[in-house]
Amino acid sequence: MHKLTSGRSKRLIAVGFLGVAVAATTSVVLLTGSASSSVSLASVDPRTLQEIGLRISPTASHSTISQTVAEARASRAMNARGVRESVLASCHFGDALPTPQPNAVSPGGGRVDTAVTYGGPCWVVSLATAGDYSNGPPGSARMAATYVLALIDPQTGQLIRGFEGSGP
Amino acid sequence: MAIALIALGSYAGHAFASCNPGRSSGVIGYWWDGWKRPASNIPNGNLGDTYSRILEASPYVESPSFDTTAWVMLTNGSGSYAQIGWYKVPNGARNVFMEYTDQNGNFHRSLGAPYPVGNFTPYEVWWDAGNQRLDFFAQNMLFGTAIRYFTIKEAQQSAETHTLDSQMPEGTNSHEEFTFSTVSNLAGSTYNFDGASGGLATVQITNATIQDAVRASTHTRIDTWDKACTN
Repeated sequence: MHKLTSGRSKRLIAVGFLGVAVAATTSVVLLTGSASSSVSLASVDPRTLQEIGLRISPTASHSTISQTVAEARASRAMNARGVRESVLASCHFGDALPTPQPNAVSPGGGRVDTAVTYGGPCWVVSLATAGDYSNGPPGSARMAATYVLALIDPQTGQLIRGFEGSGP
Repeated sequence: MAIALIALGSYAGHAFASCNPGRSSGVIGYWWDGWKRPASNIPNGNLGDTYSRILEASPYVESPSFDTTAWVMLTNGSGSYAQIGWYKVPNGARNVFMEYTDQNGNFHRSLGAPYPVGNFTPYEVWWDAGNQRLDFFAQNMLFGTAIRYFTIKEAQQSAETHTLDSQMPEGTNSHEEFTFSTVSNLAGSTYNFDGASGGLATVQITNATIQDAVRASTHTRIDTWDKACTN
């Protein structure tokens, strides 16, 4: 009865450790509000997030506005038809591409050291497209949007940045 | 890089100079009025920048439409491009938008806080050779960046609508203006959008002359408007 095979013993020990780990993780979640070490969106491919330079990660921040309000603000700002999912996260965008040269100035006078960037908490709201397209230059083929994302300020409810387009 | 957290937010103010042209509703399509400048007509034969101060307008956008915009663009002349300008959707929300295509031909659009209606906002797309990326500027601030996957063959500046009854920005008494419009080559030399003399270097682009109008009034300015509206 007590003679277990080595393999089975290891499995039981592993299950025990797993239970302890789950309990510990649950405790951490209850204390901090952070559910995991990563945040992901089921409705948007990670390659799309990478392409648009948006990084999201867990946040312990609290939101002044409710999730419902955030979703409503997102829908209006992006002229969308319905919410696919939303999550409160730490959001970062605006400097994902190669390290800028701080003093670079364009022929028109634009300066790369005055970038519009964001790093902080936001509601990430994935929306259903209202049939948005891109036409590109006159004469090119029309493309349908497959994703719509709105980053909503959890304190003011304003749109921080919207993203939409086509992708995997 | 200095990190500038800009107060952003969608602007959904009252329509300004908004006019329903009263044409047939629900007719979805693509109408544009503007001009383009091929790289081959620029000294050195190449192109790395286009710039214009565009009037922030707030035209009537019919509900079946998805947007009305005015923008500057670098493109290969077919399906790949990088553009920035203002953007309005049927529910009244206005924003700055930038848009580009990636290596797979997908498009990506980013929307941020708009500039006030009635102002002239500098918009610019620049091939930033030092950083090997496309830079998109609004009000001379870097709004966004993108990797370039195409050969830059021409610059375009245009307004566009997506239903027949959506108003091409502005009207007969108050035009949508693209001002101080320029192109620059890869050496950084800047030229009037319409060429240094004669106005022969650019081509007006329009498919909407029945209901809209487009006119280059100087070498650096082009106007568009909706014939059915006064402003």
